Amino acid sequence: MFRPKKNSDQEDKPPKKERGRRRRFVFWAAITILVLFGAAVLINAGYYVGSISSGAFCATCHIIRPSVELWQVSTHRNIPCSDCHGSAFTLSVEAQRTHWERLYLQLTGRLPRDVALKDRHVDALNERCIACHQQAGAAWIAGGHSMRYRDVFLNTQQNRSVQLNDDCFRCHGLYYDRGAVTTLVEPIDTTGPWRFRDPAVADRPAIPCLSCHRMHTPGSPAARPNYAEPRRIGQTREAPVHSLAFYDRRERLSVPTRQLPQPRLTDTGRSVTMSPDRRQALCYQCHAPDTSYHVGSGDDRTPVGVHEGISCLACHANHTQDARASCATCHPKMSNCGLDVEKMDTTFRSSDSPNNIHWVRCEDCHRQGVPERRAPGS
Amino acid sequence: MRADDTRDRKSGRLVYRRDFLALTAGGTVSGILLTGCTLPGGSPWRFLTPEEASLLESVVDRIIPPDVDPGAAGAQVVRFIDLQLVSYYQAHQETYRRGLAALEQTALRLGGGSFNGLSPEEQDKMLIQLESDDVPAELWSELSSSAFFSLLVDHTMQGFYGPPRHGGNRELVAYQVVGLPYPQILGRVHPPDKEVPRPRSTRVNPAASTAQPSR
Repeated sequence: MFRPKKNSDQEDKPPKKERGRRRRFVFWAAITILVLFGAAVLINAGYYVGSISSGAFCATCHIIRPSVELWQVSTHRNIPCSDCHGSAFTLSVEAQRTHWERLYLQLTGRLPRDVALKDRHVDALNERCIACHQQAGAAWIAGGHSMRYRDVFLNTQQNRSVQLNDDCFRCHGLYYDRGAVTTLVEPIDTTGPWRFRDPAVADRPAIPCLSCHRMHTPGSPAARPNYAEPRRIGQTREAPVHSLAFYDRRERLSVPTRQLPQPRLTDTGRSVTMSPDRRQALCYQCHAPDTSYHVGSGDDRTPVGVHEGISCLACHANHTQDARASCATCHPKMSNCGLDVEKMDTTFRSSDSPNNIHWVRCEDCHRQGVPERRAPGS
Repeated sequence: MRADDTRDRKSGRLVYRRDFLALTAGGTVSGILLTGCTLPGGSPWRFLTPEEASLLESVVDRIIPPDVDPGAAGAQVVRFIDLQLVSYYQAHQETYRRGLAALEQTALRLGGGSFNGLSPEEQDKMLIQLESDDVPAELWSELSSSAFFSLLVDHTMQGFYGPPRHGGNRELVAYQVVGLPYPQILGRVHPPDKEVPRPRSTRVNPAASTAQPSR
């Protein structure tokens, strides 16, 4: 009887029935693993999505737990972490790289001492702040605190008069995290020409929002007053808890204004009357007097003369620092001479004036003697 | 590798399935791993056990007790010590492990309960005994209790009064307690801006005062 010869492959193959059973086994094993995998993904995704809004997911990392706890009692408590910090579901290669780096460090036990924002994170956060606070962002851009690294560190006039040094970072580039100023600019001298070692930093904001604001700080979201008692709204309104704080680069810590020191200045031996406004402690961190603590020394602009005792923020808008509306806010009620103060010879009217608006005194205009103060209503 | 693997590879049929299975299995493992990674309740300590940390919090809070201001525990001194024990103070790891265990045993024997469960007065009394080596010798055979207490005091002071970058002095609490203005107000190091007219009095006597900042 003729029997066809099998090739070697066919000879090695198990019987057809066994092969079918094996394939079914593999098929159902795959289905089982797939179901398990799907369940794991769904549980993770569900847990992530469900807990991201409460911060619970973020709080599972014990290193950032204190930050999460502060956020939970902050003004931004109803805004998910991902709205400011981004989420794991991002197409940003840089963000993904950072996430995997952190996971690797976590799994290998090389935990960072603290989780702190890097300068590139602060840049991204700045944009996200402005995305919601657009009016404040526009005011910041138009004001005197929106300078970029190029405006500060490549300023020829400044660099020729004072050699760049690490202390510049105290107020400019507070979040610069690559080390000394030598890592930022070269050459470090007063002749130049100066250039950035990494040109990508040129347009980075030198004083980003987080220089003066601490997001993770206790506060309440805005709430409507009690309209059942409209006449008492003014008296029962809660004092706003502001986020003002100074970012100390050395400690990588935002110090709230209530903890910041208020200077006690003198004017030729006389103690200057200072405004009790705690907010201006923030201004003094950078617009500071020199070690003599004499008014007008260093970069200090503490008012003396007719404006003594007035807070910086009584005249300067908080984001633009614009003081154009300040005269109309107080004058003429507080004016002693009844003149249009905006037209008087001060630096408010012209930067060429010898009479600085911060320090102008009656004697500056009344060189022959100050007339008697007029009685109210006369 | 099994023989049928080779055969399957040759046929080019099961390869895709196998890769798929490997990916699926890998994904499942990753999922489980990540789930474990994000499970709440992980210890916040790097060297100390939760029990040791709790005991240490009680101890440091007797060294610098809270009053109107937070004490050492509130200033996160234990966090400072824990961080240092895995970095600069690795040499003290064994001292802490043995010392804290011996302290707890001492409390159980002399105080009749866990150190955490004792009243503040009883805790103080026990720490005084520790400081004066007035403790059961068999519990402190490998370590001097006074030396351990001295180490605790040193590290508590460092954590409480040192810069917060090292893990303690939370929210600069120590600087507030002692009235230290921080960050200090420091004028710019640069020549005066000639374009800005100085106040009249400054032109007369530019460095007349030595006033200090206030908090």
